Amino acid sequence: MRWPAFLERFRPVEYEEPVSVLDLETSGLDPKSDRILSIAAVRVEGGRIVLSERFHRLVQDAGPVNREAIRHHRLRPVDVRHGEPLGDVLEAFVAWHGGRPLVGYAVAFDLAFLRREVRTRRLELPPRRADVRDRYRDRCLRANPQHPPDLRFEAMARALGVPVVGRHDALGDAVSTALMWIGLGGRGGAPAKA
Amino acid sequence: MLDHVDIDTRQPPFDLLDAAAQERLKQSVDLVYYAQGAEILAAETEAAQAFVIAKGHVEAYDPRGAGGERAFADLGPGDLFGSHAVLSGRARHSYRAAEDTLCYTIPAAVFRDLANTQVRFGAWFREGMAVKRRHRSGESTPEGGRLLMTRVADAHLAPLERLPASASIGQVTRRLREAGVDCLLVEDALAGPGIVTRTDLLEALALRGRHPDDAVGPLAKRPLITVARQAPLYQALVTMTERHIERVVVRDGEEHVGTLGMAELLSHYSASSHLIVLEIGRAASIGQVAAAARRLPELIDPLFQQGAKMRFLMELVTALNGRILRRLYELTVPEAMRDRLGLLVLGSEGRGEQLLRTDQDNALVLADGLDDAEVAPVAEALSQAIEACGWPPCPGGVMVRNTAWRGTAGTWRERIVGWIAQPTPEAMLNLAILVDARPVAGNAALVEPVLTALRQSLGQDVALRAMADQAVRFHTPLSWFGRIKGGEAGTDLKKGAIFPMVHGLRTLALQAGIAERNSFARADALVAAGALSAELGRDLQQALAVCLRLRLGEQLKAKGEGVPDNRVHVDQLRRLDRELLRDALRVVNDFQDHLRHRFRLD
Repeated sequence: MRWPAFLERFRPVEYEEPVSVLDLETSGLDPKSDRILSIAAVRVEGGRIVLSERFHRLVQDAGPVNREAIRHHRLRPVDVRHGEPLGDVLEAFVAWHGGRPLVGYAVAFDLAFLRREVRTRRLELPPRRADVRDRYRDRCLRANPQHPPDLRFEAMARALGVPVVGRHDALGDAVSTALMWIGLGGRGGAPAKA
Repeated sequence: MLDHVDIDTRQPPFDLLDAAAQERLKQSVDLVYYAQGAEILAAETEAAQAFVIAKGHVEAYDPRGAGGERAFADLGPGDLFGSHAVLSGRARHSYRAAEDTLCYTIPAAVFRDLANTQVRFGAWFREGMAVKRRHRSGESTPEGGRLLMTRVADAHLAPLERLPASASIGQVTRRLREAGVDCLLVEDALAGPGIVTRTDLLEALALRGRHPDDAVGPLAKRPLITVARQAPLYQALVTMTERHIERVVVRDGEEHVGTLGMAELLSHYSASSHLIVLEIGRAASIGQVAAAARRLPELIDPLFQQGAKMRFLMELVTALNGRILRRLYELTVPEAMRDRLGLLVLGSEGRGEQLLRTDQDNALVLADGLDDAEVAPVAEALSQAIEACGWPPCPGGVMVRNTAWRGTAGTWRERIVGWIAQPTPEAMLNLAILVDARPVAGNAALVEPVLTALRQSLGQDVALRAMADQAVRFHTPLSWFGRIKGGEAGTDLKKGAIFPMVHGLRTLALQAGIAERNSFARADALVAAGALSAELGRDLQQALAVCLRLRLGEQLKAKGEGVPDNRVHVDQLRRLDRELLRDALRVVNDFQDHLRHRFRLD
């Protein structure tokens, strides 16, 4: 079945599709006032997390420092000083994602940050997305409607039997999220030729 | 920044990569998920990647085992597998996810490139040639350091002559002769450059009926095997030994600038071995020979540390030991008697497989009419001299100082017949070491009739079966589940692995009428004669190299602490060595099956 273009963004992401799994680190939790500090993403295709073609960039940032956030993502002002301008990072990301659906943990949060920045620069994000947290919750509730599952990142990773790689660093979280996607059944189609 | 690729580069073999190569490795891997039961790599297929387990558990098994598949190893997080498959082009075993498993995958091209450009890393895998701990900690002998630092450009390169593919065989031959070289580059715009050697020309003319006016083009060998001028000299040695070639083309960037031959390489490479040879030749007394001889381990150790091929190491040592024994013979045997005696080395020395001097097994053949009473004091002096050079006396008394190991050809024939007629264990052992006998000094012509008689008498089925039976008598120290057995005393490699291989090859060689003595050469000859499958032949060579190397490693470690023994402590081996040993023991099992079948034992 062909989906009309304007409905494309509602088409569910299949586990058999290649996807881009992304994670952002930000200066805080408010998309209106906080800033993107780094973007990391990996492709899941053919049961494989294509680490060798990963996307990982730090954003140059000189804004006010949020100590709470630093404790979370461990990007100190000195680290982000070496980053690239946000516009360059976004352009590189748009060139990288190749239109594959975006997958993330609480992906709406990352997209809220991205969408604002992308729109002002007339760049485009893939229309379709999937959230590992939502899928995990739905699956747990289907199996056991009485017990709301623990949806925290670490708890989910543990329940899905996924090792948490370098937590609180965009690339580490992107890889862990990709592993959760695989743990949920994500395969990304037939094994790609290595 | 945190490390996202959780491959421990402080652990072997990745610790053998330099920092840039480690980074390159980490940049090139992917992370792949395998559901429980999924086949990760199938035996006999080509591997597109090597694997490091990130999480989970993988079973290695042999789908062709007698009576169905045979599991032989369990691998866990941190374990590397598929390296053999990537480097040799074919997987020996199959691998299956025993539970849901994540593996880092290293693309084959990257892995091969690392093995080729990172000398120590490459050495680790080549024929299971591990590089020792000491190597890793950066501690190395001056000799070792120098050998690693010497570049191809430092060696004596022969000029590279070129002719177009349309040149005739005759023209090429003349050019080789004029330039005093033994190979030249054949230029062909379409097929690319190739190499042609004197041997190629000779064979084309003599064996394939080519005419000197024929174009040389079709004779050229491609692709051209090259080493970079800047590469460590050691790399050239590795390339040559791996490809079984005697000469490589040296390139500078894309340009071919010369050729390097094995002889030039070795003369440069093991300067101290040449020095030892010189010293032995000049030595005017037994004491001076002994002083030079005792320095041999100094030569072996660094070569071993750098992962030199066992076969090459053995050839070098055998050549040097031969010089020593000849010199001792000259120094102890009166000139009038030298042509009337033939000195034989037996057993491992005869096979050219003795690396450290574990024991002396030798014998004398006397010319007819020479009185043994006259020879006795000379033989005693010879035995003492050999002992002084570091060969411990043979516990079984297989030495020229004992009358039982001296005699005319006639005496020897009687002994051989007697041993075969009454095949006691001792007699069988005597026969076995005599089969490997090699003349090293004196009149070799005296020796030949003895060896011929021996091969003829042993060529009979009964004797062969009795010999083969010994090769399958000891079981390998490998449990059903692929565990290597061995208590606190260690695992006896000689009894459980080396002896069955060496003795089995010896027996098969006798049966096939092959006169080669060295086990590796015997395996080659047996494959060529169709008495052994190419696969088993190759596996045996690798397995034997692994066992000899592990034993040598232990022996070098225990240097100076008594007589070298044959035990290794499995729990102290590094993981990869343990894997290799396990593979080797499985090969021994297969070989014993082969012998049982061939000689209808059991």
